[in-house]
Amino acid sequence: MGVISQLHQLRREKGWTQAELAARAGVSRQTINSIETGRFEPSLSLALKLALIFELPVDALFALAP
Amino acid sequence: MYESTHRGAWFNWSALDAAEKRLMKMALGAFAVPWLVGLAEIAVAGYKFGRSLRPAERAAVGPEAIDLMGNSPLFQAMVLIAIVCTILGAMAWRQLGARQDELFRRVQSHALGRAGLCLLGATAFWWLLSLPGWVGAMPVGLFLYVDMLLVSFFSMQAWQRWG
Repeated sequence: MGVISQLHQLRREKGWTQAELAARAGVSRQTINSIETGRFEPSLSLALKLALIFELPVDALFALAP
Repeated sequence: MYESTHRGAWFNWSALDAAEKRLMKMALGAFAVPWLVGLAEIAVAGYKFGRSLRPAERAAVGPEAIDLMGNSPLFQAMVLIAIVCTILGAMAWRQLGARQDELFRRVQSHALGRAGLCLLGATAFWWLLSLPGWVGAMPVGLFLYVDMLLVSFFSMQAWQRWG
């Protein structure tokens, strides 16, 4: 069961680059790119951190793929 | 932060900060030493194998200097230096890893875990072959080299999957 991420869309709405979001989250730009493209599923702590950055609940960023 | 390039075979130097660059230099520099000693060992083994194929009448000649290389203090010092450098490289790499994010750690866990399992299987297989005496003592150096190659292979595999 995979995870669908809204990270790309939300980041674009904020006008942030991947590098800027990565710096805020304390991860590499490659990690943000991998999450956005669905290759990498973040840990719960990183998902919570990203939700905190966007000031949204976690399920607004990530959802289970049907 | 570490970012892989070339399908996991290399990394983006400019993405590392000053402290990470220093640790990477230390790790790569230290790991180069055992590789060089290993290459010398492989070259010597190849030379000995080639010499073993010579005609029987010439094989009766006594040991040459190269046969006694393993006993020389210089070679033993080289091996000791290689071991120390491996330990120093591992310590620098560990410090570098502590500064990385979960993607790096996941890749590293995958690579070390898979390589460890393969090596465990190979060790068990070698032990089974040694019971009837089909093989001699385990070549520990060779196994360490195979382990390093396996870690590199599984690391590239993981970067291609997640990175």
